[in-house]
Amino acid sequence: MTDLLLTKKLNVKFRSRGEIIHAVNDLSFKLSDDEILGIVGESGSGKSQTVLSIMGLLETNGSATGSCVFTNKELINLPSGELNKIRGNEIAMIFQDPMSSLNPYITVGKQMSGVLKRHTKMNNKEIKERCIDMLDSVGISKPQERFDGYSFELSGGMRQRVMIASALLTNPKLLIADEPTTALDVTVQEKILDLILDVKERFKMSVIMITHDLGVVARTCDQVLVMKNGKLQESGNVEAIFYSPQADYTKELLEKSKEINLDEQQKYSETQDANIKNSLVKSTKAKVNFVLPKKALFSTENILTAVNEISMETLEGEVLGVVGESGSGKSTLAKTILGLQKLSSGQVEVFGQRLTEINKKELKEIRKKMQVVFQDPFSSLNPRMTVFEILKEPLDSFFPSMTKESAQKDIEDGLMEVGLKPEYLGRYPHELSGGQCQRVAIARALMPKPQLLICDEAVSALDASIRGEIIDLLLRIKAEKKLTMIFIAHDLAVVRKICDRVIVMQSGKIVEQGPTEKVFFEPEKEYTANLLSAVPTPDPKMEREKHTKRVQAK
Amino acid sequence: MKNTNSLLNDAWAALSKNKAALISATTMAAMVLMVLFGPIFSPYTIDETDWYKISAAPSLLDGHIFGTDDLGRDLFVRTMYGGRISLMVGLVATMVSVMIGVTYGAVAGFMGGRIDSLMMRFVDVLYAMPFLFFVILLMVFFGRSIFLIFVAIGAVNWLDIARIVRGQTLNIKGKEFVDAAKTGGVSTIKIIMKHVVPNLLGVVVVYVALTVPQVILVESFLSFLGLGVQEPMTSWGALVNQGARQMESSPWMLLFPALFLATTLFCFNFIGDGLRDALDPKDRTRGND
Repeated sequence: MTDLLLTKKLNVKFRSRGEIIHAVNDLSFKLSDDEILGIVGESGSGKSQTVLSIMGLLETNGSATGSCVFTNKELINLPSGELNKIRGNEIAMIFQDPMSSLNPYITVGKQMSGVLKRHTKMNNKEIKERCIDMLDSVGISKPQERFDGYSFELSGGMRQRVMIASALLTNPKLLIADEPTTALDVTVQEKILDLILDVKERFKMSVIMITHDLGVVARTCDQVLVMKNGKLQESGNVEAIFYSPQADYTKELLEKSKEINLDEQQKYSETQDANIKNSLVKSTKAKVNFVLPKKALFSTENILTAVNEISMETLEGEVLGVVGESGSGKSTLAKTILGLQKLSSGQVEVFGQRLTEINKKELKEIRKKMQVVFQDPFSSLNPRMTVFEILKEPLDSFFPSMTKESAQKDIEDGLMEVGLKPEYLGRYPHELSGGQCQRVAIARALMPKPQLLICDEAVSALDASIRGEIIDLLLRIKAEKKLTMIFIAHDLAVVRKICDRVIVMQSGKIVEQGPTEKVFFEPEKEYTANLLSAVPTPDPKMEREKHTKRVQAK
Repeated sequence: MKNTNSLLNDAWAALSKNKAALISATTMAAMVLMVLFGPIFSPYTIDETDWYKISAAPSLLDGHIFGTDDLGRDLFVRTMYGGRISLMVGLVATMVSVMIGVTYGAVAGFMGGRIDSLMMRFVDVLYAMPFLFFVILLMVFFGRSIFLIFVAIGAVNWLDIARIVRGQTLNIKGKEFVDAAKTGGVSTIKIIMKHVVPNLLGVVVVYVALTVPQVILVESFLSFLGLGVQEPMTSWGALVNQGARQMESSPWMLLFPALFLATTLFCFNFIGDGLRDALDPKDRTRGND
């Protein structure tokens, strides 16, 4: 084996507001032919900046020093003309969000052809043939049609396949994948990772896989670099890292990601002591239809049923998990319970009152007892309001007679409760970190002292370590305030950690429900089982077994 | 207490750090004062003909500091009076159209559904009305007056802003903080006023900065057709118009009104930029670099 990429003392610096930020510090690593190297770390660890500096794609205020030799060529500070001969030709890259890396205004075919036109002397017919071949080989059905289609006609997984296909067009020696599956559902993620492993074998290339998910690393990589704050924590082959980690940080990461490990089942009680507990939310055959815009003037209306005859119950004091892939209707269900979405048919009872039969005033009374925390803390806080104003708003509307002094005290207490100091009151959301914003959102939800808290993917947008903190916070608050919680998530590890009972949803319907440990260990339905096995576990041996099984099954 | 910083207080603090905006605002203020009180210091009036000084070049000796026009009228006084009309039309018509447009667009966008469709179709109907025809109709029915010019320009301009605001509102409506406010028991009107409108400010302010100059130009166009301000009253637009015809023989007739008009347009653009940055908390921290 020879070294395909040899990096020595790579440093990346950014100048921002007169300060110098070290994004990558003295990083040295090598990548051999036909090898997959994983770079793991949380956001801000410098993992993306490392590859961006190799590709010469740093922002204008960034600079790289050190050395990075790719097949005898020094890449760092190579003029962009020279670099363009390598980029997209010998080194290809795929990004996290296939939605934004494909241009919706031009056809898939045109976007793919661009690469070949730049780097080869093929004529248009050959280019088209090659593109269609490539689409076919990444598992896209009807490649001919897709070639002339647009990217918005494709699902997220298909888009990522198109990205991979166009990366492979020039037979690159190195493929850089920057969080290629982070934006995708677990079952789709499984397929895309398998595809990357497959094309790596077929096209004989090396891969650099950047991810924050140790499960993904265990599934795909041969070598691993663990990074934190721009510094290398540990490197070595995948087995060494996972089975005998040296650095404390690696151990910590592994510890955190093992929550979903399915080897130890905990006890659960099959029958809930339902004798005294009353149900806070009860839906019977709830159905929500969306009317899609008509395609032509006289075409029939298309109806999308987001929630299809769901009957469920939330008991006082429990944490109910709702899991499902994107599009399964779990968020719509939450909005329906909150009274933000109208029911098409069926009934939803909240605190014993039917949502279809109450007036505005009664709804407001119910909302006082029922609050919500949303997924994206940046979009759920009004950017033009300070933390103080954000927290004051629910007080103003639910307790209009409250005095200024007691409101001030409540707001300060509320902020302390979620672990923030009162000095944050004058800040705007963009001056806070993602985790802090989510704490503010939780504090806001707790202002009216609710009994029921709905968390709609409340931790999905956060980094692993912050996610842990927020979950601990939620659990603490739940215990202190005797809250009932509905916890919506696609992350099964989180669900297992905090939920007593789980509902599994697929395309608007409930597939399975029951106590968490039961659903996780003895799933009755195939869909649930697939969902569970698709989650990559941080255990390379187990992952390899699973992979061989899947390949054989094909 | 520092905690109760409102959006406007913070915006003012940020705006006062923006040099271009401050200079522009000062210039505008100076120009407004000049336009209001300038004519008092001149020995001439707006419609008085100086028979000995027809198309005279600017001179400090005889008091015609901007010269005279082809009818021997003092250009300084005329420019000042013209400024009153132009600035008034620009500001008042824009304010009126912004107020109607923002409210209308925000309500339509936020309500959505059938109400939105109805409100927007009404806008479409008004759009279909030819502007000139509309103005002529107004003049025929009500006779000529400056007030009618405000009405005519305002009636047309709010349509644009209603459309823009509606589009933005649809975007903001989808944000989770609106849902969060709803679950927080906030009433619809308050959501529009506290959550939707403040987030529209950036777009609206830029639009206003572009509209004021545009309205001033529209007024001059109307004047040119004889539908706007009538002699002996005048406006910058009308003066530039007359000046352009004489620019070879007496260039000062074009130069002075044009200078005032151009300065105003520049100032409004800088003030607009400054306001947009000041009103956005994100840009504000960036501006402190």
